[in-house]
Amino acid sequence: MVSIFDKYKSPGIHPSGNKISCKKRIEKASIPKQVILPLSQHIGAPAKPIVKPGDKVKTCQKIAEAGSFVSAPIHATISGQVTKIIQSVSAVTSKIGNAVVIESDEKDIWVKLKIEKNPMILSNDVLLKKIQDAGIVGLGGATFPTHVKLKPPPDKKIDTIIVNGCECEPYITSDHRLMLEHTNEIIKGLDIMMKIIGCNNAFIAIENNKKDAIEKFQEAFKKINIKNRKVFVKPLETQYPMGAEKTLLKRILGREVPIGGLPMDVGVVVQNVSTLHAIYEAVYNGKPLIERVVTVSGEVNEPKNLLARFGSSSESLINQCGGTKPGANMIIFGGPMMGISQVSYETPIQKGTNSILIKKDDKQHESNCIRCGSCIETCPMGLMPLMYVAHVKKRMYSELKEYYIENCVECGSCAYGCPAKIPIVQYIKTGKAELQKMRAKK
Amino acid sequence: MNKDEITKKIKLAVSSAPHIQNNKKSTKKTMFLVCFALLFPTIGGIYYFGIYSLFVVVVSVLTAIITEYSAKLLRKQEFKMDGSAIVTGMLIALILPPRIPLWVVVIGSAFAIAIIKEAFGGLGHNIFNPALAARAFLAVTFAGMMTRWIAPITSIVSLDSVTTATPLSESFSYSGSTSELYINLLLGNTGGCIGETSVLLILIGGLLLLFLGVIKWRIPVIYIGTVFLLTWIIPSQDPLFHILAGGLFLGAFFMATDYVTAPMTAKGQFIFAFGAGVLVVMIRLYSSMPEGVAFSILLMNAFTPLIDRYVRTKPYGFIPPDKKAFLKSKRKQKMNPKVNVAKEEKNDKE
Repeated sequence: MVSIFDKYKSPGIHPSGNKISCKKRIEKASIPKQVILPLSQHIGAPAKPIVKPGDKVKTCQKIAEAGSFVSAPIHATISGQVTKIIQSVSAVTSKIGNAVVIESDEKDIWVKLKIEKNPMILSNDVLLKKIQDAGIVGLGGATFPTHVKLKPPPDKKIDTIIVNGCECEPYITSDHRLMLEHTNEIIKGLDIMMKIIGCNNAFIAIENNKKDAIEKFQEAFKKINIKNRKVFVKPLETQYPMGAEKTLLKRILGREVPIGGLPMDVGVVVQNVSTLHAIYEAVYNGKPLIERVVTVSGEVNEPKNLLARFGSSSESLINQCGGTKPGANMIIFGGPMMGISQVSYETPIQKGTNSILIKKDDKQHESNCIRCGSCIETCPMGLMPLMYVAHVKKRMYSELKEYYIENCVECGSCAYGCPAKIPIVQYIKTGKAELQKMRAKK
Repeated sequence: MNKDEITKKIKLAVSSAPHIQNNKKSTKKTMFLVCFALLFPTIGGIYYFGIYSLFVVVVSVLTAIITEYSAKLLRKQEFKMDGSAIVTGMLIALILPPRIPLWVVVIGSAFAIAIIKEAFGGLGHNIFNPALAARAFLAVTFAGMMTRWIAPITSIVSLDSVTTATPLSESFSYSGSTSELYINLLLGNTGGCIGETSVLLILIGGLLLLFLGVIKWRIPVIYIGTVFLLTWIIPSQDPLFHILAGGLFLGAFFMATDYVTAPMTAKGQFIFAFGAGVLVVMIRLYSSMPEGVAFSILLMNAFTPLIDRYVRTKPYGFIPPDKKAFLKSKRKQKMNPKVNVAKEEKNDKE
């Protein structure tokens, strides 16, 4: 009903923020002794390794090439020797893939990087090539290769860019700190992106629980003024899932992405602030994507925002934050709403890991659905989540399509507010997987 | 790797996202809030019809709990005190006549839990509202006892009673002014079921639930509104009298809003409440029964699965099929205008 009165409104939930690390400056994490670099850290084809066990590598050296257009190369994050290529389970997709293991020589010798003083005079193709070679993927968590996003098909005219600085998940503060400490770099990254896409309209969306970041950007834009360019800082109310690109798009522009479509179908590109920072690093400093800010929070003694190299084990990062508090028995990569719980302390962090959350497992058990409809009311995608539970329980998978299960973004709003504590998202994931199996059989 | 480290590594819990739950909401809490809200009409019943009303409520609730426990035992399931049996027990008591024999209460309460709720699969699976179904069952089986009404009494402990007619029955007559009648109906100073007479107390309980977010405004407002509008349109009927008399408010706030037996979508709830409102007016004015709230809700309960099947929410980004085809053709035109030109030429030749 809401959508009839206000097309900009989107339903959601309001979990407590718990942004306990928001005042902690970004700290450099120590260089790990060993890194495990999975070759599939992004959506698309896995990267192809170009090193063999025994090879010596330097930091930032390319160790794997992009597997196809929708793919991204991987770079060594420390200097040392490639010891082996192992099979590992992905921390994000739970699929088995290859991973390169590098043993550190503890010197951290870098490849000489090509610094660009004035990249704005370069052609778009050169800039795109730089971004593609740096292995940049969407750092908000979806890990979609950025160069694909920046090159929409010619029939799709992009009229607006949305910079996503919402960070609506509880606990995570990595984007928040980045916005505070690297404001100018993010703006320069945005400039490059606007030049490549050829679009003069941009919104920087920040939730109003990050007042300091909003002010910082507003001040920065007072100083920089470029003709014909419209960049607005857009404070938004704090609500989950505000940072999901489809919800964000609706909230700011009132447009809805068609089912199964991408934001570019309605003329919009949504990009995370950390991705923009990575674009800046790649274009100005020639630095490929080898590290990112990771929030370590929850049941740790000293919650921190660490600038950590990919492939570091989560255990080493947790130890740098004073170790876990007693009783904590869950490690989650990502936030508490959509994060993926890990089976081992050794799981290496990846490009999409914006947070390591330590938690106690205190979930309550499921009871009967009382059909209260709270899941329907909070679903930002306008779906009926309880129907998925009912159908999956009865193994009626083909009926799931009638209820547009492919439209579900698995944000977890339904399961969060469920009075019967039903793990709705788990049922939805099961349903999606079974549908995929059915499709594969045909 | 020493032993401590190994145990540390194995003891990780793994589960699907989300990893936090809203602990402010639970089935149990919802049920106890409804129980609390139902205390208001219960107190009204005790005030107007004596301490015997309290016995009816207690017997009904106890029977409901014992029946649920036995049913769970028979079905080899775990009995959980989620409060739903208490809600059903209280509701049954509130919609029975004030001097109903206690053994009838026991039968009604046991029927509601055993046949209407547990036989269908327990909480969340029943098609009909257990309390209303029990009332319908008792009204058919014990017709005489179910239509014996008494006037509000003067002393709470007294068991004496004067038989009277409920406001909606044909033999009802009122000597005072209309405004006095309205006030008496509002306060509950009339004949009727234990908990249905005092509109004011029901409204307090109902609004409490509304503000606590347990129930939504749609069903009560549309339901009562439909009854008001219809009786306003139909000549020689008093709309205000029709909404205040009988069990409309109790039904609208506590029975029609039952999550399990009402539709889940907003649109579905509109249809449900509107249909129930029309049925109330039809039964009250054109059938042999004086009151129709119970049957109107029960009939609409039967329609709920159908409504839920066909009335669905509009998914985000949903484009109706005809519009989709239109957009596709438009895109094709943009992509290769040559094809179009050729087509037009062909048309011209024809």
